[in-house]
Amino acid sequence: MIVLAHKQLILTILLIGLGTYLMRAVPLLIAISMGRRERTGVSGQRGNRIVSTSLSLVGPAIISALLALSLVPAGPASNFVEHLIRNVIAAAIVCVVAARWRHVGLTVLTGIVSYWLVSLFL
Amino acid sequence: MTPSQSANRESSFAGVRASLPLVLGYVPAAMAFGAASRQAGLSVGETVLTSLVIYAGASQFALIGLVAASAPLAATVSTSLLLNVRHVLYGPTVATRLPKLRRPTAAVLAFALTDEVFALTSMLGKDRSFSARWMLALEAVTYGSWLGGTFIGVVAGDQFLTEFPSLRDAVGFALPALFISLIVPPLMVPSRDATPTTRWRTWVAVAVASAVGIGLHVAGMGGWTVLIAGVVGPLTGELAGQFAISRNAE
Repeated sequence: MIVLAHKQLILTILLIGLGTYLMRAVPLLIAISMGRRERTGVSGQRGNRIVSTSLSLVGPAIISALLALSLVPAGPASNFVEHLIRNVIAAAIVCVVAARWRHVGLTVLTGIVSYWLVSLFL
Repeated sequence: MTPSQSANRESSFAGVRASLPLVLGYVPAAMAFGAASRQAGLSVGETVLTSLVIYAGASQFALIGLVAASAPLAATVSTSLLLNVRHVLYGPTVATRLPKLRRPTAAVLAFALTDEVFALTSMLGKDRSFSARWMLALEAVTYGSWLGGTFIGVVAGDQFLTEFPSLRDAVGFALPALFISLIVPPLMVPSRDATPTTRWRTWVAVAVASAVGIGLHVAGMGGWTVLIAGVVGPLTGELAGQFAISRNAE
């Protein structure tokens, strides 16, 4: 049951919202400024090439980390193995569809349906 | 309609189409949040404000948990923000995809730069419809679906999904499926201009980030998990790439 005063709760929500926005916006704005300086030849070239290739790896790394975490079941330890097997089987089916058709919508729908079908048996 | 207006419209439609798989995952999660928030004692207005202002699933759920447990304001704010700290990595990657992005537009796009929007944006190939307008359309629809789902959850609860738990779990698999759809095709069928070194670098980054993420998650690192994995993975991949280049040069 909530005991936090209304005004304090609103303040909490606004602070978290502001902090989240700044974490998203500030690095983006800084990166845009740095990119502009690079295009005008102000910054060094080799260092920027390494940063650029490293940044190209951030997307796949973050996505794979998020995927790995989403496949590790939350909830009671008694169902852990069962959920994990369900996740792995459904993920394997989804991987095949993703590699074969390369269609985001089809892959997501396959994920929902395959998970549901697997959960009927496991 | 002029050619540029036509291109802009096409770009917006493409962004809306791209958002649909994300909507499939967002609506049930938002409904669950809305229902849980009401159960924790937040009002309709406070719940909707949370989704309106924060727009980050993990920290929103953490917020209502901490509020229900009467945690102090400082602990609630810092814990919720810690869960979002990985977002600092998203902006620089998006900036490489949209090099001509203007600052006012960037300031708007940054608000809705969630995990899934980032994932979709960062993994796109050389799609000519990819633009700031595309991203704005994508974010507008996904944000709208998050707000709509929250409102439905607040008003109607998530009883439908609760009565069909297998359906709820299945719908919950939409987001892992989305991540797979973004990561597997480039790994299994790389683009024509990807060199062996590039592919090797990417595989190493992905493998290390996954392993580090799982390890830190099991160790209970909480909000730092994805951030650390998102830094260690690319650094390791880059080192592996440099090592491969120097070996080939010998």
